[in-house]
Amino acid sequence: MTNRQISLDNIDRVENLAFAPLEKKYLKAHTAATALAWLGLMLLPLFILLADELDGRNLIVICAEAVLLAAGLVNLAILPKAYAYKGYAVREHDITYRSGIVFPKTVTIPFCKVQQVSVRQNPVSRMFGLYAVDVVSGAQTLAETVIPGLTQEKAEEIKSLLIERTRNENR
Amino acid sequence: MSGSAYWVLMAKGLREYASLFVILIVLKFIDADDQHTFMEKMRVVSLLSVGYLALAALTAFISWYFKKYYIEGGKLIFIHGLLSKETTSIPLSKVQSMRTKQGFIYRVMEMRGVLFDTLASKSAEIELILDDRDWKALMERVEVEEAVSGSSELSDSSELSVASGTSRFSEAAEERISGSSLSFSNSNLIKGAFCQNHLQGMAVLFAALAAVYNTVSTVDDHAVDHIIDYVDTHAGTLSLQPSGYVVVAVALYFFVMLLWIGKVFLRYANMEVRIARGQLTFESGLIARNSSRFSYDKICTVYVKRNFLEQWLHGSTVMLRQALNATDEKKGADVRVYGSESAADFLSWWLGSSYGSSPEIVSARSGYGLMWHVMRLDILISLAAAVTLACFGLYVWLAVPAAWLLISLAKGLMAVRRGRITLKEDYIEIHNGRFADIRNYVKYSNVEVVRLRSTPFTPYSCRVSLTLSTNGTSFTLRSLRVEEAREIYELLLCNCAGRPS
Repeated sequence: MTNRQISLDNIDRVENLAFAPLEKKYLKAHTAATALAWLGLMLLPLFILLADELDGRNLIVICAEAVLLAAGLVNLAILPKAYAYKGYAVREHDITYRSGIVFPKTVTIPFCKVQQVSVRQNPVSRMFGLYAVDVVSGAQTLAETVIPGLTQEKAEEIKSLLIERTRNENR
Repeated sequence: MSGSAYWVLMAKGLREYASLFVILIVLKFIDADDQHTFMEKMRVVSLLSVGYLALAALTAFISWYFKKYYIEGGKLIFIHGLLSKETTSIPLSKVQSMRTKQGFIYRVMEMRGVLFDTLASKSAEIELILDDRDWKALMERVEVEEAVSGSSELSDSSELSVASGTSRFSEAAEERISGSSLSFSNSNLIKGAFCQNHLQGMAVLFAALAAVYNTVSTVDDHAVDHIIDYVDTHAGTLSLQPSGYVVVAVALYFFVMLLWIGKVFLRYANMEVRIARGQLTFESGLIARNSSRFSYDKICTVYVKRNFLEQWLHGSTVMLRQALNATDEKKGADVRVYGSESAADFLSWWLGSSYGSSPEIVSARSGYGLMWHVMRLDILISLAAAVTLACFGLYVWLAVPAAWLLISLAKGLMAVRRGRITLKEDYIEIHNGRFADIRNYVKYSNVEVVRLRSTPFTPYSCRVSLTLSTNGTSFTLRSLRVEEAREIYELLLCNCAGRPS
């Protein structure tokens, strides 16, 4: 049995890493996607107007729309802060992604555990020319970590780096 | 497959359609609107019986005639399908687990059902129905393939050992190869089942009732109405005094407890565990014998639970949790051992015989934030109940939510007392549980992803949550000190890739 001492002094600790920010266009894309989601939600209370026998349905719809509008505006207002916090960092043996505003979280995936890397776009990110890198591991939870808001070159660069490092680590 | 396999498939077909057949007959007899005479009803029942037998025979014939398997070039090749033939090829060296089942009819026909899993399997599992001769031949071929791949793995690893100047890996390999056998007494099994949460019996009862309801309602939309009408008509004769309800509740409690113990006994009686060549074979069952044979590497966590009853009766519940694939999620293939003090045997096999002396690197305990997390739902429920009772003027009944809250407080305090993560040289030990002491043992190599999460209170409390996920389990340690959590986070990342920092 070995009993090697592990020293953390020589490691670039996660809290000290310089996180690379996402593209500035991502804030616009995220704002558009969030606004669309809230608009979709605001359409739902309108179905109450179809219930003819319900008294005071106009008041209910106005209240529901007001609540949704206020929540949507608060959500949109905190997006710049959330955007500023999001970022990724690559170390020798792992990749870290930081996100969250109310519950800030940091996820790290060792390269040797990466099972699949893919680059993807959704309709909104396509409008802004942005891509996301999807890192999949074999974990039961947190199996998928998505790094959004990247240019095509950056996304392909991260993908190539991850694939190469994964291959080297598993050798 | 041999001719006997046809009769097993026929019995399976009969069992599959039995509930449908019985429900149809019962409905025919209790339907008040049916004006047919008894003889006419019997004729309908005969016709239904013939249809039932013909359907089971046809299904069995299709399953039997159109399934072929053979072994070629170290691969199990399985051909099946009626209209579109499908060929599945499984390299025997990649078989991660092999389960067998021997229900009553299998034992009568001296056959066994063999099911295969590969780690990456996302397809439906394959069942072969084999007699003992074919089963032994298949096992021999699988063992030969494992020995071939194992020897190449060992030669690779011994090169690594020489290169790094340590014999650690080869020692582990020797430990894996040396075999042993464990057997467990049925009295310990009953003791273990009795020590579990007794509400689990209620879950078994509700699951059985839900299955009956589901079958009845799929046969006929009005079937449930017929049964409710029937019960309603005869309910007058079943009226009870208030004290009678207490007796019924006590009887129901004993009934569900017996149901639970019976379920565990049927599933895990006469349990045998064989450990050899990096493979664990687990066999149990009173009437239907089920076995599961899986590789050393497929286990991702060893779970050991001791509640106060188990501590008092000197027992424990051990669960070997496996890496999940599609079929495991459906079948719940985790190995469970109730009532025996066998945790040390499994841990010695999985972590190495010196696991108990592995030195501690770092440890962190959960704070009182965990207590609020445990109590959060109970607080909301108690508050809602208290407000409702106060609104209706039922002040005496406020004692109920108060008692509920006190129990919840005890639960929260116990959770804080138990919540701990300890990083040892060779493995990770995660303590959790509330009233029961639960210890989870995880190897560094099984850690897939690590996450650190803050809360809005972190700037004031300096506490965070740490999540580590393996390929079959996930653990969240709440309310850890920031500094300790960050140190553990880094150490987990360093060790999970097996590299020195």
